[in-house]
Amino acid sequence: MPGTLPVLNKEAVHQSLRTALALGCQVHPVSRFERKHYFYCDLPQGYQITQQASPIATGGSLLVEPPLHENQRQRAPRKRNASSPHPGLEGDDPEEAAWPPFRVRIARLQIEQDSGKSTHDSAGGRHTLVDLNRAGVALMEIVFEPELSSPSQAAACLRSLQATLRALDSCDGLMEEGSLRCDLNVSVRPAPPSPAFPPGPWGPRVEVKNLNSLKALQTAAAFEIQRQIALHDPGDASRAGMAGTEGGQDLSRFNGHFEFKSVERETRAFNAATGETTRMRGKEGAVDYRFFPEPDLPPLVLDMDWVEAVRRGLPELPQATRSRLVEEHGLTPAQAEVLIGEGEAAVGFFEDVVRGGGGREGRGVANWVCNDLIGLVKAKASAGKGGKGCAVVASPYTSSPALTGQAGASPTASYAVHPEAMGELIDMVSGGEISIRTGKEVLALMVAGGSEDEEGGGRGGEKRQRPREIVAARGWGQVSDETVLIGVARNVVRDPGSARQRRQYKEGKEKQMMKFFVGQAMKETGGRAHPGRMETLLRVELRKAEEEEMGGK
Amino acid sequence: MLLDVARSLVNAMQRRLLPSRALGNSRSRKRLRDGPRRPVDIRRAQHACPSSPSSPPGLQRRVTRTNYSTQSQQSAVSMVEIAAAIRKGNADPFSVMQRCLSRQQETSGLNSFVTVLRHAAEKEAAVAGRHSVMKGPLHGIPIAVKDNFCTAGVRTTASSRMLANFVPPYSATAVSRLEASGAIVVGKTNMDEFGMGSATLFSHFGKTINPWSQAAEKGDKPRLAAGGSSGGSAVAVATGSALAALGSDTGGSVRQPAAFCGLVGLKPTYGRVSRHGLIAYASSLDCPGVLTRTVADAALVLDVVAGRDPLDSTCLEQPHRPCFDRTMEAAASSRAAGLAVSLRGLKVGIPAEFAIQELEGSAVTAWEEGARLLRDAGADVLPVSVPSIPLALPTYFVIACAEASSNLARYDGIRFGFRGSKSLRASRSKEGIGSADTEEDDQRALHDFITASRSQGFGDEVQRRVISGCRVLSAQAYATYYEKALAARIRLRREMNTALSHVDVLLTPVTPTGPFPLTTPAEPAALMVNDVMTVPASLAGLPAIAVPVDLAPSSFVPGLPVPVGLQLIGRHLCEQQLLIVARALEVRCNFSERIPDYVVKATFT
Repeated sequence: MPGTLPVLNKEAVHQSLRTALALGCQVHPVSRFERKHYFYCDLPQGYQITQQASPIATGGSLLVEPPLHENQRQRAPRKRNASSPHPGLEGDDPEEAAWPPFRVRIARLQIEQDSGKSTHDSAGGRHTLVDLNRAGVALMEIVFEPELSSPSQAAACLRSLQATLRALDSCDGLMEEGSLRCDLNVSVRPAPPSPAFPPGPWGPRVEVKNLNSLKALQTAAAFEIQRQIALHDPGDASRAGMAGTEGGQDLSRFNGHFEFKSVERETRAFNAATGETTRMRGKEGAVDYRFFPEPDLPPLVLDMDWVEAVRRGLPELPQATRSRLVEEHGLTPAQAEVLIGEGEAAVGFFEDVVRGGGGREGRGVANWVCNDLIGLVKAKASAGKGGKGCAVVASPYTSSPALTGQAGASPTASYAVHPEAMGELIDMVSGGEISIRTGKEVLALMVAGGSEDEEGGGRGGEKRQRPREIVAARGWGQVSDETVLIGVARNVVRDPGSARQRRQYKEGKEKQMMKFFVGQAMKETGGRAHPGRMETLLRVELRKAEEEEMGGK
Repeated sequence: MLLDVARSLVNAMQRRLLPSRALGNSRSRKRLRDGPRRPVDIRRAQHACPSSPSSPPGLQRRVTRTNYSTQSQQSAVSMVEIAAAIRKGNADPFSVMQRCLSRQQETSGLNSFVTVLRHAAEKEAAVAGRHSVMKGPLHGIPIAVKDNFCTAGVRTTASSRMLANFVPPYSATAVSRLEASGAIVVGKTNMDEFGMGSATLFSHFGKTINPWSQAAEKGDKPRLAAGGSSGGSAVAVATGSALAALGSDTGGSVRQPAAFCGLVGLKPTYGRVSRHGLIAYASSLDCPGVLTRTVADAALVLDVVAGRDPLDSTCLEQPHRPCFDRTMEAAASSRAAGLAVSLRGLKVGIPAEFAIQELEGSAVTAWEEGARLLRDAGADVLPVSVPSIPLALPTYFVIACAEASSNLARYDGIRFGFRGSKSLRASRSKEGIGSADTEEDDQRALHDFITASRSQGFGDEVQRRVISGCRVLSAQAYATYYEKALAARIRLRREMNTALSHVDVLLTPVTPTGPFPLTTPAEPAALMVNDVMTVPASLAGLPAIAVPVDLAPSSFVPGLPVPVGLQLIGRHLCEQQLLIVARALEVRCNFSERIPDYVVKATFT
């Protein structure tokens, strides 16, 4: 609109700074803004304010790790959830050669203005709809050096970035909603006849715009590599894994007179429906952006004391958390990934539980949290969504003030289940007070209890029952009275209906038959007998019964 | 074409801007790039006019004074006086407003307004009259606003066809502050389209005519330019249609029309007044300014509009030091009180490089006389040097056009404003539906649509500057033009600041000539030369004020007296001091009492 002026968003600078520091970038005390000009209907000013010549940060790197394969992820809770919390892994090419973790360097991190959002050819007609709601809003652009050499590396890089941004809470990372977007550059080059020779020159760079999912990125990269190889030599197109994105692997075959005659420097669009890229504009259509210093915004001068304060306030990054979880707490990589995937609060919750009681074993706690608690909380959240519009809960804490965390926990984060209660439950199971099965039921009640409290509004947490109270109230505690247990054992053993099993036990099928008797005893006690103890008592009773039988004869 | 303009300007600067008369100190004799200067002792220069080939012979300022000093005293009533009268209950805002509106009607032939808010202004004035509580220092004061300041609910065109239908939903900070202080907007004034011009000639709503041209015999004498781009604002104040006006100054657009119409024109320090809501021409140069009858009026209006604004990131954080303070109030209270203010200890610099060849004799005379009057007031007058002055105009041209090309990119006919006759749909269907390369076709259709809107919506001068600006920012020309201009600007700013570290203010002419006839010049660059004296302060971001000092016979219309102004350039944020010096000059020139009746009284319908 005529007469309007831009004002720099302080929070955008803050979040960009946090991100830059977390990625190990060099933060520049003075950075400048520039205008980049082009005419398009979703660019209301006719230019975009960006940081072309002196961005807020340069350098730094991001650790890229190969994706975990299915066998490593067996116990992830995704089976319970309709929507996978880790999209994009499905697209991994199983054929692709494994690669070790590596760091990809970051060229720059800059603050710039978003454009509007154009929707082409909607409503069946040849219309373009423009949504200007996000136009002019600050965004952060991160440019990587051309060091990725395969579609899966590209996807892993983006996934790692996504996890980092989420850990920092500088971006929710939702690609489908456009809060994280991605442009891809692909070039290929001929492979040398042997590693002893230098590789051939890189072909022209082709840019693919606006990839809005990990899968789109990976598919587009794979398509673009194949397309470029095919342009060079149609015969090579079928040979997978020969070229790369950005820094790229090399073409497997060296052609003496290799020239990228037919690969053109161009900008392409990705069609998610077909998985193909289509031409947007070529080199001759390239725009002269006529960069020049933004006269409406003075240079951004950072107070380095503030920068240091921000650096000190940074949370731990996912990769550091992962190694800590694995090395300190003995978690499997899969467990660590699930916890990290659920966010900082989930990791905090886990650690609260582990620290809360002496000798709680990390892997066991993680099993409870990853396999049971997260699933229950999510199930409840999705039920709430359909019903009474309950707040979306994507991790073991809710945003409602149901139960405030203990001292040290963030005052806004409150848990669906208090870490102390969770710890108590785990202790009860490991201490033999209740069985694992009972424990799971108790946990379900604990989680369900939260919802009643939430609806009651506010300080309902006090009303919530501790696991021990639930167990006591329902009489679910394991029966420890020896006389009762002996009685149960006697009844089970002497039940006339099990005469056949007794005989088989005697005839040597001890192991199998013991399982049967324990099962019967459990049935009798409603699962409240300790299986090990019961087995001992049963053995005694079986021997007695045998002796009696023999004595009777 | 565009390059020709740029090149011809650069050449013109190198060819024409040689100082013909140097006003330098003989000890600091320096050679300018293109030629020698003849050293002239400033003390002698103050008394004797060095003969100049360009100055008409026999120009006697004493003669001009006696010729035109017998006119009515009515024009001497200043805004400050009327504001005080309203405050004391001696004047009624409604009748003040009616007087202004009738003056507007009587002089409508001068075409100073694009939009007159007759009914709204009358209504507000009536309300202001009923209120016993004063809204602020400008309570009930009719004020005109240049049509490039956004006014909520009131059409704001920047005198462009592109915005002829644009009604902004918000008001510029400067306008809001004026209204909050009690001022009432009488209308939106005509200007050069988007501020691009020096004569209010390039307007979609027609030319604005200088009220001083009225004495010319009807029919056969050419109409004179009111100056520009704030020409409408200047004429509104000069005719009494408003008591003060808001203008914007990018390269002299407040100071030059003020000088042409015999007014005070103040361009404050860049960033002193918020640009929020000012339709941008060249962002790093645009500066809201005020046009008033007196220096004290300008000080009071500045105090109202100045100060930091979170909506403009280039607006300065430092709090504004009031300029209409006790000193100014006292100095403005009477002629005697004004004359009593001493400038002892103050140093006034005369930059030699402003003595260009094009400078008219009357301007030289006024300059010398101004220096003498300031010395009379107790100031020391010293020669100073700003060697890069010859580069100022081409530098200004490159930077202003570059920024204009960018600022005007938002006018594409898509969201608001003028829409070209070639519709998007038509150009799309021409390309044919279902062709293989629809993405590129759509791009082309959009491009055609935007091109049509801009070609039809912008006037010639705007198109010239936008194209020139695109050229100087293009990859091929950036280093040759834009980067060099930036470097020259930094150099000029440093030199100006150095000069101002030796002296408190600089005294220069405002324009090389008086008001020129309102005809479209054959050479677009010719008009720009008019800005040569005013662009240095704009490039350096320094406060500057044009003060009317004298009457002189027009060099274009024989026998017609026209006003001559002088420019004072102050230090960064030193508006207070600048205005005190301006007041000292004003009171000694006594210009307001010499304004002919026909300028402030006569009708022109």
